[in-house]
Amino acid sequence: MHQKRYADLPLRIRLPLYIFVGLSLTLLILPLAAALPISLNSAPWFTYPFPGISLRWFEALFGSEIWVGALLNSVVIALATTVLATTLGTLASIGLVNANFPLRRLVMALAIAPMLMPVVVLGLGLFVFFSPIGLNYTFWGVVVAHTLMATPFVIITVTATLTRFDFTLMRAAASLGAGKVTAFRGVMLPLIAPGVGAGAVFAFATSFDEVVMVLFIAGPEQRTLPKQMFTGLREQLDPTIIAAAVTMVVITSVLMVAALAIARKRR
Amino acid sequence: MEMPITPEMPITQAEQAVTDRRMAAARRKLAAMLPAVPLIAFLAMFLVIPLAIIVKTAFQDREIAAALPATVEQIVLSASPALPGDDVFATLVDELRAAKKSGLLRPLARRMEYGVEGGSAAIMDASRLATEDLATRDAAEIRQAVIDSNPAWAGPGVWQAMAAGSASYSLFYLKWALGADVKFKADGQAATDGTYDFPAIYLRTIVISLVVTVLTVLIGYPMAYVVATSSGLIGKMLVFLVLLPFWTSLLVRTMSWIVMLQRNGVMNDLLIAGGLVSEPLPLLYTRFATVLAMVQIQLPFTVLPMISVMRAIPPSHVRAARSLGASPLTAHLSVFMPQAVPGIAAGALLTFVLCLGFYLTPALVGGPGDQMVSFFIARFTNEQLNWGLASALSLVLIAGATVIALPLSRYISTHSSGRF
Repeated sequence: MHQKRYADLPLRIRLPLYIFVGLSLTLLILPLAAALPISLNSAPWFTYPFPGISLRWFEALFGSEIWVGALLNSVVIALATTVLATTLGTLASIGLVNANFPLRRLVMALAIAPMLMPVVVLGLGLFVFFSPIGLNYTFWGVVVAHTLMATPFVIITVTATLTRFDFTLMRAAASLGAGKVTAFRGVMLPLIAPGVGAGAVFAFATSFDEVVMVLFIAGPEQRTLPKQMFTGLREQLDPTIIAAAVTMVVITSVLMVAALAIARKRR
Repeated sequence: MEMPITPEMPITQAEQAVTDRRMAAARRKLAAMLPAVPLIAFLAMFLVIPLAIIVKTAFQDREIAAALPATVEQIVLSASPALPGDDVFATLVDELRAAKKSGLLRPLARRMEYGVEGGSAAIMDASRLATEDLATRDAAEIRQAVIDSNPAWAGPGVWQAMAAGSASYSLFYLKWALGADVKFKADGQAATDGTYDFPAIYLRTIVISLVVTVLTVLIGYPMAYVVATSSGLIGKMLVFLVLLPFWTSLLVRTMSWIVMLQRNGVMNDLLIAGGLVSEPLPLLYTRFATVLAMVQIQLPFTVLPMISVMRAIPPSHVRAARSLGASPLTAHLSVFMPQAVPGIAAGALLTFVLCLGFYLTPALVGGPGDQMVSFFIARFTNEQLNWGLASALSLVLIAGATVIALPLSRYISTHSSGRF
């Protein structure tokens, strides 16, 4: 039954409302829609119309050892973060949806806190903590920092999936003689896989996009794509940076679409 | 299976049953916690400890006492700490020599510069004197040599700063971060910090966050209303449009504003084409750019909680009000909007709290006068290596955000009846 709720509002209200919302949505989308295509501009300026379309900025990007190295660093760091954050977050979510969990609210608040806290405060804390134990300017230091920021996303998506999970299935598995680990692998994991997959994609995207922690913790060996972009943006805007941004958006979007498609298929 | 407790049961057996039950409950709790143990350990290690370290670093103030323990003790105990006697100078020279060897000299010089104008130079100059040959001379000669090395040693400022920093823990950095005059001039007067006006920076942080929050609510409310009341394909597409920038990298979104707002960028082209201006405006590196970019970045955060609350409002309520004779606007304002308030409050609170900690966007699209607290925390950590002040600023930021957010989040959780 399709119900037209808008019939409630007369046209003299509806029209300005739609125009206002249309403009607001334009504000939301316009910067991306206007900026990203400039990576295809054959001339090194930032306005329309283009004198021609070319891939020269992408050639410059993928021909540069610094940019390609930064991209590879980003991918490796994001993959390590994804594995760590997804494992920690998924396991913790299984505990956190259990009503018997003591101090559940406190642990949940603590686990979500890195999402709400100013990144520079987390960066400062980790930097001062890492300084005497030698984790600053190391690969694992950056991965730990990114895992801290990515795990909340995994917890949110996986707990959302788990609230729909029927826990009697676990008892059924146990009554059929399955151990806890077997029941987790054979029964629970396949059913919550879409949530875990979505969490993993968010974890990857969080790390792949992150720059503030990298500014604090990373050394020259861990120069990531966002760090390279940040440095470039602070000095002089160059269309190669826009090409790097497009590359970033494409990689993240492909992963998100893939996760969505997998989730659809399983349903 | 648990054993039921019955009145005719012998006492010991009943006790046994109670103990069994407690044990079982404890075991259940433990089993529930078990999968979360790795994360709890991770958070304890990399969230709780670093935050505790920030608190410690904000109050720790040990450079002076560590490098010059005897000097500090002598001036604190003496009758006139600001103008110490000859023997104190001899101790100072001895301890500076030791500090040079143990690597405590540079931290000491840096800390003395925080406490008194010219403090670093005074320490370094006097440390150059601290040779074996001077140690054999008498106290009055040493005093003269120290004062000759740097006239600051004659004035009370250096000694006052030393006495003020004599404890291993102090409120020095916190006072500094709160805008108090913690620095002395060489003549002992309080020196005003001309470089950083922290109260103004807090005010600026709050004002920018507040302006962004108000704008996102004003823009976001109609948007959320339209999205929440649209169904079918249009509804799905609207949600997609709201979510699209939400899933796009923060850095990419900030970059696209830099591209847009260039002097010869798309925005200026549009303004000139529209005949609104004749010359390109300097849009980038302004307060306008900062607020605009922050509004665009935060809008989805404000809108999404509103949508989820608005979707739960039964359309029959508004229809009932209309059928009872209320005008569309009255029905909306008196029936729909009050029910949407928890969503508005949640969206606004989320945006405000996230704005307080913004670093990246103001750093890239704002000017020097648009930087917020986070920028200074990063600068003091990475550029000036003043971790004490960076930590104190962090404490003020977190405490301020908590004080503002806590009552509001209480309100939201009591009025939203668990809808989030």
